[in-house]
Amino acid sequence: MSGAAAAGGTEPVLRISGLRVAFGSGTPVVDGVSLSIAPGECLALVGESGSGKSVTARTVLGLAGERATVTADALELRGRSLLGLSDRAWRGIRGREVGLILQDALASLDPLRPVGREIADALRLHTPLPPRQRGDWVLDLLRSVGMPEPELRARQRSGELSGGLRQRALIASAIALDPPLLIADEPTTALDTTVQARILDLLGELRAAGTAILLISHDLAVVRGIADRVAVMAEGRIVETGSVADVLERPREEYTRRLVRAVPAGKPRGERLSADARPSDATDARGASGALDTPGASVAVSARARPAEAAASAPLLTGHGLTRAFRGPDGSRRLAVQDASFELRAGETLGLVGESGSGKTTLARLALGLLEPDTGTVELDGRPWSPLPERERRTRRSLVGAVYQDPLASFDPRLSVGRILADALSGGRHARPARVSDELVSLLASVGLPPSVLARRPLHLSGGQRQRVAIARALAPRPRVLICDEPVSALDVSVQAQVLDLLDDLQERLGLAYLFISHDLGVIGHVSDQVAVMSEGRIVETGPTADVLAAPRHPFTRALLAAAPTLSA
Amino acid sequence: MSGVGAPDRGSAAAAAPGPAPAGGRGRGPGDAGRIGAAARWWASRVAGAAFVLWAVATLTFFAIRLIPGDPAEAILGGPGSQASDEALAAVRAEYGLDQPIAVQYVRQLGRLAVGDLGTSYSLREDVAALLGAQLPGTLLLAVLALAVAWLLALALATWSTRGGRVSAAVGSGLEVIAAALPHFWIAIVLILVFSTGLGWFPPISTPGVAGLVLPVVTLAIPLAGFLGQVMRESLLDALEAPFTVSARARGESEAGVRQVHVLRHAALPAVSLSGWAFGFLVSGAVVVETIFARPGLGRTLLNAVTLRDIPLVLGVVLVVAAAYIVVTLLTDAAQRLLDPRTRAA
Repeated sequence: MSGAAAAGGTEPVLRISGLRVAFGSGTPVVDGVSLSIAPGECLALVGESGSGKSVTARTVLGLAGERATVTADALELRGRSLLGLSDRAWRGIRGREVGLILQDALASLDPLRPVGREIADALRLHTPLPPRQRGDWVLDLLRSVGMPEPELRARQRSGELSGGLRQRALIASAIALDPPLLIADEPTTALDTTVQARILDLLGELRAAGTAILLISHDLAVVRGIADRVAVMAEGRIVETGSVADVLERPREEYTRRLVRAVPAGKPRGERLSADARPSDATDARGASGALDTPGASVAVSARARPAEAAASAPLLTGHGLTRAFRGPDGSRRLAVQDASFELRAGETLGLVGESGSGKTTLARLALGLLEPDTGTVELDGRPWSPLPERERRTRRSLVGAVYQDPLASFDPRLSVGRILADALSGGRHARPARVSDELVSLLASVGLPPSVLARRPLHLSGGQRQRVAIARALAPRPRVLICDEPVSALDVSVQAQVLDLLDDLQERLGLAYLFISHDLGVIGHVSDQVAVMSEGRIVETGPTADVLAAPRHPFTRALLAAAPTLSA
Repeated sequence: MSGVGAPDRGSAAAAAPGPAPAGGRGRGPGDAGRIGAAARWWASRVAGAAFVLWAVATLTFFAIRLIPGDPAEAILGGPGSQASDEALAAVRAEYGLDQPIAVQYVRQLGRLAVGDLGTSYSLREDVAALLGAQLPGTLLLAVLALAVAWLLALALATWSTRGGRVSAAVGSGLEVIAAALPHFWIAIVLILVFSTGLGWFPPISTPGVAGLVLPVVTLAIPLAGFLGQVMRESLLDALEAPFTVSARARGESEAGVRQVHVLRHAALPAVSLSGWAFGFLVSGAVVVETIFARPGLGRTLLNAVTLRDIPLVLGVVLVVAAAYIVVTLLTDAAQRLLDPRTRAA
């Protein structure tokens, strides 16, 4: 069970050579991948979604799926070939020789069972221990992953634990038998920045103790913090591999360079993240259809004087002393937002950053007038906006639009994109399709989508296309303010880069004001003119983005900055 | 890397053969609260059940008054009986029908509270005793049919999700057809095949196991179709859920994944449907008991309605409502047992 010591340090824990995985008779999803991981080493597999990272990892566990055809020159775990193993032999390897940590332990641990039982399952399957001793071992494991009050937590289910604690429980279940190889598939993607930092520390400690880690991530900043080597995957192949510093600082391949450029952290406002051409003007609708496919267009954008201009104008959307409480499940009142004030000017972005549960979304709903504040007021363009009877707000509703994290959930899945946008254009009233079709095409063009998207349903679009449609829908009634609630959190880094660039273009062209909410300090730092940091319902710090990031005054801001992974060493 | 409780690998590894004795696994502070919550849940459910029973009794009491005709005449054999005025007056006095309706209502509730359901007009017998004799047969039929439907649905759902596309298509096709079949048609086909044709089972329900088979199967088939559809859907969802990937990555076998994780998730919606299913079975029992000439609540109800035997109708309605409430209570309790998440609410 002590893999690191026995291996003698030089022999790789995992060695893959010429791995091919295909589903059915289709083209291979993994096409000739070779890699190896030494004991105590962390290899990061990075790339866009669909590049074959997860399939590669699942193949190492024999879990690529029943319809998968796996071939390889070599697939060895500690010198033992994994090719052609029986089900029974695979079951002896899973959990004992290779542990798996998935994204989001809420779904990755059985929500009906206490986490202690889930962890004990690994012991039940691989050891002859009686239940009582398994229970004691589970408590030791929970302590070793830094779980507070392990006796209590072991009896709770994943839904009863916070994101960080349940991810610890998932890690405990993966390392229960001290496997020499740990596969971590996006282990921190669903977590807050500070929690992510602690989970990465934990993985780092496991690596230091001799466990080999295969880390799968689309977040290069996370990779930078923990991995020793990086393998960049695209379309089933490894296009570039090397030490973290080499690959991220001196990428040789264009694909890697695109990935690195797409990371928003540390990039000044207005610098383009994607290589795509800027979508052409709405007036040139039909010509825009192929705009996104032409890479390599001008990337440099002149520094904008916008913040200065904006400061001169009157604020468009302001909140004064907003407070809102909710009743908890036990009947107690909980203040979701406390005494929050903000000012948003035309052409300006106010970035709102904080951890989950800090009140960001409640503040967004207050700003949208979807939620009435208990105390305080919101003003839109100098006139009262909330609290106000909805009837008096309705005529001005079109001035404020919203873009959410998960566009799929905010679309009616049965409607075509054309119908969704037509409804938004007509403000819910039914308009004649013929009259709006020109407008629809130009609306789509403004977000860089071809007219062919009109007939499709949201389910059949990619994540990036969906978010573009969501933005087009928000733009349809010609708003002056957009409330963007985690608009890029569900997207790949490269797609995120395109959407952030798009939002930037639209702001410059239409003079929109953005209230931009994110838990990702890197994104906020890139998009915002002003930043407001939220913690436990209060805005603890606010000011020009550069000032706040360079000289944070509040301890929470400092903690957030310290925890945020960056690309620079 | 400080700040996090350091994972003490040494202790975890050393603990492998014989783990260090850790603190006892006694009840934590949360348990008292949990027991209190369970007691509150049961109290609210029982109170709700009592309210529903009262509402059913009240509704049927007043609904029966809306039926045209003199109850006293019905007691004496219907409007055609040419009963004398004296006889009618005597009956009215005997049954308290000459009292104001509010008094009658309160008396009725009082009688119901002590379990007195009155006397049947047509059979001249105590309704409670009559129903007491009929209830076990129907309950047995319904419970057996529910059990058989569960087994059929589970087998079909498991089989159709284990194999390839063909078995999935066959499985879902069978479920749709089964769910759409009417009871009377199934009963007739079963009688033709297994009684008239093969002679395995009697065409009318005789006492004993053989007489139960055809009625139970008749009731179970459409229900199995419904339950199977619901189960297969949730089974497929659970089989693709990330937690089953975690379980497999831990070394769990395919059978283990289903036993430990998936079946429980798949059973949840079917359990909550079972309360409704019981009502479906009781209404199906009216048809099935008639076709198989089997004594039971269903046939009693049919006869009572035909003869306008008001106390008997009232009694059957109340008993069925009570049974339905008990079953719903049981399925809710099963739901709480299976899905701890519902306990928090």
